[in-house]
Amino acid sequence: MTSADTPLEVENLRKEFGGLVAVDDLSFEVNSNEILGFIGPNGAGKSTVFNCIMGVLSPTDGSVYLHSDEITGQDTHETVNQGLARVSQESNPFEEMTVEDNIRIFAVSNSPFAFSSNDDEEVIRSLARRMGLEDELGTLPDSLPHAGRRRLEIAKALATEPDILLLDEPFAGMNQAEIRDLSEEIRGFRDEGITLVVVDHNMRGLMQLVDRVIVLNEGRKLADGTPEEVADDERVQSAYLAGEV
Amino acid sequence: MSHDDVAQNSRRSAGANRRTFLKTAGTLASTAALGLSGCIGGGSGGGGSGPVKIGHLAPVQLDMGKGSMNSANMLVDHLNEDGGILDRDVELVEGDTQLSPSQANQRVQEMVNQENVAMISGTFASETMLGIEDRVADLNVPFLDTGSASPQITEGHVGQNYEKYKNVFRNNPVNADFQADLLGEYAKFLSDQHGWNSFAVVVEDAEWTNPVTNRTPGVIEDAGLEVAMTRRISPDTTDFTPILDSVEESGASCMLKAISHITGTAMLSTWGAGEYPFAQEGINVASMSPQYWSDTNGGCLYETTAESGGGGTAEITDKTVPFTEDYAGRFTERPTLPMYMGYGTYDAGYVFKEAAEAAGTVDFENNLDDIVAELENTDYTGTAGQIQFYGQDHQYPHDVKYGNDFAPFPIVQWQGDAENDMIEGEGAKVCVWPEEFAAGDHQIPQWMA
Amino acid sequence: MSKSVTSVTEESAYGYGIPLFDTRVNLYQGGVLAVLLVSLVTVPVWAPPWAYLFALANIWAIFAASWDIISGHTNYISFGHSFISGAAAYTTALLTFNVNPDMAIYITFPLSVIVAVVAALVFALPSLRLSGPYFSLLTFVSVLVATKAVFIFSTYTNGEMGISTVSVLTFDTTMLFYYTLVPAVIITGALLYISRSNVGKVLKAIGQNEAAVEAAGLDTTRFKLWGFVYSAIPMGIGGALLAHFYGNVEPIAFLIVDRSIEIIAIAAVGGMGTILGPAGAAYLFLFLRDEVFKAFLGPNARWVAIWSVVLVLLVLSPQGVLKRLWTFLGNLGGDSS
Repeated sequence: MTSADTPLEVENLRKEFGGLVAVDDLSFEVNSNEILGFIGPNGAGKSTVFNCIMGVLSPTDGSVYLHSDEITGQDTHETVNQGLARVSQESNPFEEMTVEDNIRIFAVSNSPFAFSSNDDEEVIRSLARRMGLEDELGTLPDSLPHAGRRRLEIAKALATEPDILLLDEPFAGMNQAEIRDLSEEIRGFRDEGITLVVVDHNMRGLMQLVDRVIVLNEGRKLADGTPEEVADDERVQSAYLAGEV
Repeated sequence: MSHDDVAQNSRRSAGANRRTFLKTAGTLASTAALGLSGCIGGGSGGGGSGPVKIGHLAPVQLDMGKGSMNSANMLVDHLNEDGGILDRDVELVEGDTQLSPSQANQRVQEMVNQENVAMISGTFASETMLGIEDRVADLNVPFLDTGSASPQITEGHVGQNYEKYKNVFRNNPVNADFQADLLGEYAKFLSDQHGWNSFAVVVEDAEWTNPVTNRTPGVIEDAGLEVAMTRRISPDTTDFTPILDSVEESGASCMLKAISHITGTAMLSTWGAGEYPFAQEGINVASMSPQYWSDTNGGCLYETTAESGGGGTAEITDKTVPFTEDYAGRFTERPTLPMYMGYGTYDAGYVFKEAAEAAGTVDFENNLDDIVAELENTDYTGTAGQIQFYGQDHQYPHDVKYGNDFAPFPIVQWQGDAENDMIEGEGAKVCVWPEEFAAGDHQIPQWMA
Repeated sequence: MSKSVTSVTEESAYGYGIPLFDTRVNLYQGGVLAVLLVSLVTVPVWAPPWAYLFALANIWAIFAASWDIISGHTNYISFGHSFISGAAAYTTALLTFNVNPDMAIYITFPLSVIVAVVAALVFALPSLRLSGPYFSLLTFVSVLVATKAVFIFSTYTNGEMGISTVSVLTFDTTMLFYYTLVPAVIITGALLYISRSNVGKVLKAIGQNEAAVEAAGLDTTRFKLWGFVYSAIPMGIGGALLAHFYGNVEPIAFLIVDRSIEIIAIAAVGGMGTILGPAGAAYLFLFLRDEVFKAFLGPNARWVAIWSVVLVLLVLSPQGVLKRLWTFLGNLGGDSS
């Protein structure tokens, strides 16, 4: 179904929790090497959509395709190994392991027989350097400042060598300077060939960053276009109830 | 206590000793220095001038084992009142076997290596004894079996390899081959008494009952009587109706049983409630407990069991009743009487004392042959009988001689309104066989009369 | 590549933050460890009457370390490890009892280990998909069922009294100690290697946050299964060794759930997830149980004593007494770089 131009496709995705419909017949595509913004007010169903994509939840109906392969409902680790990684909204490190070992878990090969590898050590080091964590390799995650914990999450996701990176509300809790730095890094990822989906609940951080925006409300796609088009869209504005889009 | 032990260690001579450096590095060593029991000194078994330690192995969670351990404690007190062994105080090292040969092996090793015992007595289950016999033989410690009946213990080991197993003796009970034959003799007695001609031989499936299945029917048939059925039932049996029905169908007047793991409580209650037309005879280990009457709510009335020492109801020797009364006066929690193993355990201590004093030593590592020779010469009046052992060339070497002049095989019966006031309650045991020791007539269930 | 010693500002309540050998060992730690190891290896020299007890402890060190590599790391707490070692012991026993009393040990031993691994997979396979408490319950049930089976098939197993036809390793307690010490050292070393390796770290990560490990692209079910195999092989070796140690195999010493719980207690006291902690605690536990508390007769009194001690130790040091001792020694040296 997908071509090389659309490495990730979601088709008629539906997720119900008992009587509640959280995602209602949602379809969208992610274009190769784009930075796609994915926004919606709180409760719109964004987390549910990406939990379904990542295999954390099983969709009630619909399909997800990654590089032309259907990945609907499969185990998370399989999806990750096929090139789709997510940086969660909440930092989720292994609290009792050092920063180094946190990255290590994401870098090692998926084999119960791979006891050690010099390549792994190299990868860990270079990722840490890249995300500015090389001085903190021996510390525990809770010693890191908030931004550091976020950078660790990104380092971990990068360690899985993704083609597509989902960033779930990456700017939460950051000041303007940090947002600028992170946006730069995201552009850097795109330059390396990674396709990016950035999820947020409004457009504030995304205006200058993303190529395209999809808006989700009450489980349904509300709009799909350039940031300017979406910002001017009346339905989107009313969905946000006169809050800043 | 530990300081004295250390001092004892440093005075001991002989090449096998090793100094124990209690204060050397290592947390383990320093823990040991915290005044723990037992010296970790080397030293030849029993040698030296400290107390003579004797070990006893029994499953203390059972009445039988508890009674035996109590007897062992009383034995040691009496030995000390009688001047100890070789003028040295006697101490008891208690070992709970938990009915487990593995645990028993460990206790044996501890007793010899860590406690330096001069002698070990016990065990209850034949499987336990057989499980430790090789280790006991390897360690050369004098061992007096006071509770396990399997003929394998003597015939199968001492008889097969005297040099290796010569330190093993059995003074109690009469071995299971003899017991099986004597059960057959008892069947003849019952036939003479009551005209019963047909017997069912029903035993639990265990090591010690093999001779009963193999020999007793032959003795009964040789006497011109009929063996209506023989059966071996699982020790885990809980429903006894099928087996009782089978005995009834077979037409037997008497069920000769041998049970130990099976407590018989359920069996007797089914038997009494159903008024099955046959008597309950034979060996029931649980029935040896004085608390069995209340355990079965009187359901054991008319049941017999064989019991060394006759449960104290017969004067087998002049020591039988005084020992029983001493025990009853001293131990007020169950079991309030020693049961068969207790008599053996008590006797074993004195048998050993006499042998050790005749040999002039308890040092078995250096003088085993002297000790063994004196044990073989034993002719001691014990509580269970006159104790002598069969010699090296006998079929059952080192086994206690059986017979009314030596160690008899008394059968006791639970009877109502008996004059025996050894225990409280409405039922009491009366020795009914052999006639030499009987204190009353054998009774038959009133519904069979 | 240099590794830095971690200065830990906080330890979690269950202690397994810094794997025991991942940091550089300081002088105090190394010193104490060396002294303890030398003491252990020379037990027959300075405490010959204890050689038997320490030989038994060698086997229990194998059990504790084997349990630790899976349960101490992944936090899937198995109450059924005595089922695994018991399966090995009973294989040896059943072969000598029912087939051929003289069957060579080089046949029975490997067979026993294989059976142990199969036994482990039998309950691991279905249960690893269950969450924590249900997994533990299933392992508990497996031990109960196995114990009952021994009694049901008592024709072959000899029920409660067990099988005595197993050959004893040796009656020489010094040789016995070394025959058991060598496998204990090799197995502890191997398990320590696995624990320190990437695989061990993944197992530990599963214990902290299994969903995150999935998100890392790792098949957690496969890792858990292999963790079980890494645990079951030495459990089987230990079980067969124990059979030849006693020369008797019966439920009470090999199979009943009490033995599983002892393994857990030993590992907890030593420090779950550290391999060396559980191995060392086995010596401590056995010493307390069979030497210090020897005077308490009968299983009940002795168990009350030993479990009281375990309880106190765990309340005072939930992360494990030996682990805490190790950390204390590490801090004695101050912050070293």
